[in-house]
Amino acid sequence: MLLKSRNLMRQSHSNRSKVIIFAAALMVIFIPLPALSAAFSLDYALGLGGHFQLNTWTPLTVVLENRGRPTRGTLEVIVTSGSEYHQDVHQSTYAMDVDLPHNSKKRYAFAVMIKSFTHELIIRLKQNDTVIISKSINLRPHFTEKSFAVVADNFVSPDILSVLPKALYPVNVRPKFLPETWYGYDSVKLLIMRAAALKELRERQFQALTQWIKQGGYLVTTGGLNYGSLLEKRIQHILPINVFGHKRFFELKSLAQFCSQTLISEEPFLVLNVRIDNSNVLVKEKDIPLIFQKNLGFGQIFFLSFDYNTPPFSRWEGRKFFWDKILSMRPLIGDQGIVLENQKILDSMLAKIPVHFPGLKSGFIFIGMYLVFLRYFLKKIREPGKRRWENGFFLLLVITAFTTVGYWRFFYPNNKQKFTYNSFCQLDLSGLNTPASAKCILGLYALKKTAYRVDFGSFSYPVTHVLSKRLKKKIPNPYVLHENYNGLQIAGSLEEWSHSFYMIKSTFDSPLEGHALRDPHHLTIKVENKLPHKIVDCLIYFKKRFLVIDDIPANKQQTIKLKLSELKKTEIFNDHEAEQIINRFDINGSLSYLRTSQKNLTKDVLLRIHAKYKNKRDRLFLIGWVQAGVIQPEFKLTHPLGENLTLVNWELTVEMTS
Amino acid sequence: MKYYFLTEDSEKCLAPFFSKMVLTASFISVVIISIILLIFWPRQPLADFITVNKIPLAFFLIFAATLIIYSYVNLCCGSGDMIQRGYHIIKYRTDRSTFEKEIDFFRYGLIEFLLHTLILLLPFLPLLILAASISAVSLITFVQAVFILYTASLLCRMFGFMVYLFWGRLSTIGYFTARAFMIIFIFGTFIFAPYINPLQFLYLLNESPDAMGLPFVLYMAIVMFATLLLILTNHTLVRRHMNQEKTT
Repeated sequence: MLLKSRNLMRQSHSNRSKVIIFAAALMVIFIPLPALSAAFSLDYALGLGGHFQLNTWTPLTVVLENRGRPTRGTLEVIVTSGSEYHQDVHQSTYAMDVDLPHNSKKRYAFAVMIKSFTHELIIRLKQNDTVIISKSINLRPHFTEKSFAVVADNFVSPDILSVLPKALYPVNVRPKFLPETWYGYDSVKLLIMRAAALKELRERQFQALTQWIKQGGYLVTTGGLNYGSLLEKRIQHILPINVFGHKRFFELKSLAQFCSQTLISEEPFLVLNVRIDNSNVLVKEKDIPLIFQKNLGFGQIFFLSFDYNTPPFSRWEGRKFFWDKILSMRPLIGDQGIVLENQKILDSMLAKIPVHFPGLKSGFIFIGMYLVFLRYFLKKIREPGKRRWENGFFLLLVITAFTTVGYWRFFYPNNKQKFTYNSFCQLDLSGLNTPASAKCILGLYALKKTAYRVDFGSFSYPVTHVLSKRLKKKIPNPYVLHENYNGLQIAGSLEEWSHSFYMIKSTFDSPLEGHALRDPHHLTIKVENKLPHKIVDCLIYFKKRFLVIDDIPANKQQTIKLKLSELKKTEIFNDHEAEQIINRFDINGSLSYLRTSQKNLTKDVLLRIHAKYKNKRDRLFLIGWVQAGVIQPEFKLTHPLGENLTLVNWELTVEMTS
Repeated sequence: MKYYFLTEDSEKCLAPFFSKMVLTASFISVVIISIILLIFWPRQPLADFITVNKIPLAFFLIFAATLIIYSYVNLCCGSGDMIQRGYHIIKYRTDRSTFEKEIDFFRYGLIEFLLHTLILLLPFLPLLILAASISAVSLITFVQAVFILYTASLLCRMFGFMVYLFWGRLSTIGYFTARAFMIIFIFGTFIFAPYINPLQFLYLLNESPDAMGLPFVLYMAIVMFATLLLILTNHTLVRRHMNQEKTT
C-alpha cells in the first residue's frame, strides 16, 4: 500500500516536472519577442520642428536605443499615399541597415516623400522579417501647405518666429535634427542659422546643407559676438571670411536703405567687422559692412554682421520688414530650359525597349521551310523498304535541326534578356558658371518576375517612381529605397511583362563651358565639352531659326562660326521646318534608341524652344544628344542589357562685339 | 518479340507508325498549328505589351491548339480509327483482331503507345518553341507544358484503347464515349475540377509560370494516376481477350 502510494507520488511528481518543463519551454518560445522589443526604444523627429509640407521631401530622424543584446536589422519607414476612392493606395518604403550593440543609442536620418496625411506613417525595426519594434504616426496634426522658414538653433529668442514672413511657416529646429540629404531641405525657403550652429552639424548634415545651397538654397547666418566658429575650416569653405574685430554702434541708420527701418538702441551694441571674399556688400554702416550676399552655386548665403538673436536686434520693431526684405532677395530659380512632359519621355523610352518579338517575316520563312522539309520526309517514309529507316532518321534530324534553330534564333535571345533597362536624361544648362540641372528617368522592363537592386553611385539623389498614364494599374510595382552611407539603392521587384520608372532630379557642375559672340557679320560660339562623350546631332536656335551644326567632340574645345547672312537665308522656323529636321533622323531599317528618341521628342523640343525664345533676340539655344547618361544606373544582382541617352539643352546669352 | 507497328501497316495493326493515314494526320496537324501560330503572331511591338502590363497569349493559344489536335489524333490511334483499310475491312463490316489485342499489353501495346505518342509530338516541337519564344516563357515552363501535352494525349490514347477493347472499332457507343471523354477531360474539367484541366494549366503557365510548382506536381500526379488505372484496365482486358482466344 505504502509502496503504491509512494509510486503514485513519484508519478505525480514526475508529471508535475513534465508540466514545469513544458511551461518553461513555452516561455522560452514565446517570451523572447516581447522581451526583445522591450529592450528597444524608438523615438523620432518628424519634419521640421514637427511639421512637414505635403508633396515635398521631409526629414525624419529616428533615434533607436538598445538596452538588450546586440542586434542587427533593418529600420523601415513606410509612407502610404493615394486614396481608396481612386484605388491608388500604395506604400513607399525607405530602409536603412542598423547595427545596435548592447546599451547603444543611434540616430538614423531619412528623407521621405509624404503625399498624403490621411494614412499613418509607420516606423519599424525588423530583424529577419520579424518586427521588433514599431511606431505609427498620425500625420494629420503635422502637415502644412506652406513652405518653411527655419530657424535652426538650440536657443532662440522666443518671438523670432512671430516676425518671420507670413508667407512661410516659421519653425525652430534643433541643428541635430536637420536633414542629412540635400533634398531633405525641399520645403525650406529660408534657413536662418548662426555660425556656431553650423559648427555643430554632423559632416553629412553639413555636406547636405552645402549641396542644398548650391542647388538654390538660401541660408542667412551670423557670427554673433563669439566669432571663433567663423574661422572653422568647414565654414571658411563656404564663406571665406576675414574677421577684423568688433565695432561699437548705437544705431544702424543704413538699414533704412535695406528695409526702410532704422535700428536705434539706447545701449551700445557690437557689430563684427568682417570681409568675405567674392561677395557683395548690400548694407554698410560707416564703412563696416552689415549685410553680405554671397552666391554659392544656384543658391545664396546672406551674412549678417550683427546677431539677430540678441538685443537690440531681437527687440527691434523693424524686424518684420527686415525679414520680409531678406525673403524677397531669395534666389529664384526660374524654369530651367525646356520642360518635356514625363509621359512623352516614357512613351519614347518604351518605344525602344532593348527586347523585341521575333519578326513575323523570319517566323514565316522558318515555318514555311519546316513544312516543306517535313512534307518531303513524311512522304518518303511512307514508302516501305530499307530506305524507310534511313528517311526516318533524316526526318528526326530535320525536326531536331529546326527545334535547335528555333531555340537559338528565337527562344534563347528573349530568354536571355528578360530584364532590361533604358534611361533618358534631360540636362539643362543656362548661362555661365551655373550648375546644370538634370532630370533623369530610368525605365526597367521585365518579361518574367525579377528582383533587382540599382544604385546611382555614392551621391544621394531623390528618387521617386513615375507611373505611365497608359497603365490601368495606378500603383507602382513594389520597391524599397534603401539608404546607406554609399548612397541610395532601389531594391524592387517586377512582375511578368511589366515596367517601372524612376525619376531623379538633381544638379551638377556644368559639363559645358563657352560663350556666344556676335559681330555685324558673324556669330561665333565657343564650346568646351567636358563630358567623356561627344554631343551629336546638334542644333542651334537663334533669331527664330534652327541651324544644324557639327558634333561637339568629347573633352575638346570647339569654335563654331556662322555667317549671319547665311542664317538669314534659312527659313524662319515653322511646322514644315520641324518636319524637315525630324526627317533627317529617318534612316531605313531598325532605329537605334537615339534615333527613336529623336524622332519622338525632337518636334516637341523644337516647338517649345521656338515658343519660348522667339522674342528673345539676344539668346541662343543649343540642343544636342549624348549616347550616355549623366546619372548611370549600377545594377547589383543582375546585369541587364540597356542603353542611356541624354538630351542637352543649353541657353546662352549672345554678347555683341564691335 | 516483333514490333509490328514499326514494320507493318496492315489492318492487323491498330496504328502503324508509318501508315499513310497516321502520317497524313500528323502532317495536317502540324499545318493547322502553323496556320494558328501565324495568325496569332503578335503584330504589335513587344513594348506595347509591357506598356499595359499584358502578357501575350501566343504560348497558351498554340499549346492549347496542339493539345486538342494532338490528343484527338492519339485518341483516334488508340480507338482504332487509324487502322489501315485493307481487304478485310473493306469486304466485311466486322472487326478483325489486332496485334495489340493478341499480345500482352505490357510487352507490346504499352510500349507502342508510349513510343508513338512521343513520336507524334516531335513534329510540333519547332512550332511550340516559336510560341514559347513569343511569350518569353522559361525553358522549364516550356518543358512543363510539353509534359502536359504528352500526358494528356497519353491519357486520351489509353482511354481510346480501352473503348476499343470494350466495344471494338466500329461501335457507335465507343465512338461517342471516346470523344465525350476527351471533351470532358479537356473542357469539362474546367468547371468541376479545374486543377486537372490541361487548358487551364497551360493558361496559368502562360500567365504566371513561376507559381506553378505545386499545382504542376498535383496535376501530373492525378493524370499519371488516371493513366496508370487505364493501363491496368487495358492490361486486364487484353489478358481476358487473350484467354478467350486460347479457349476458342
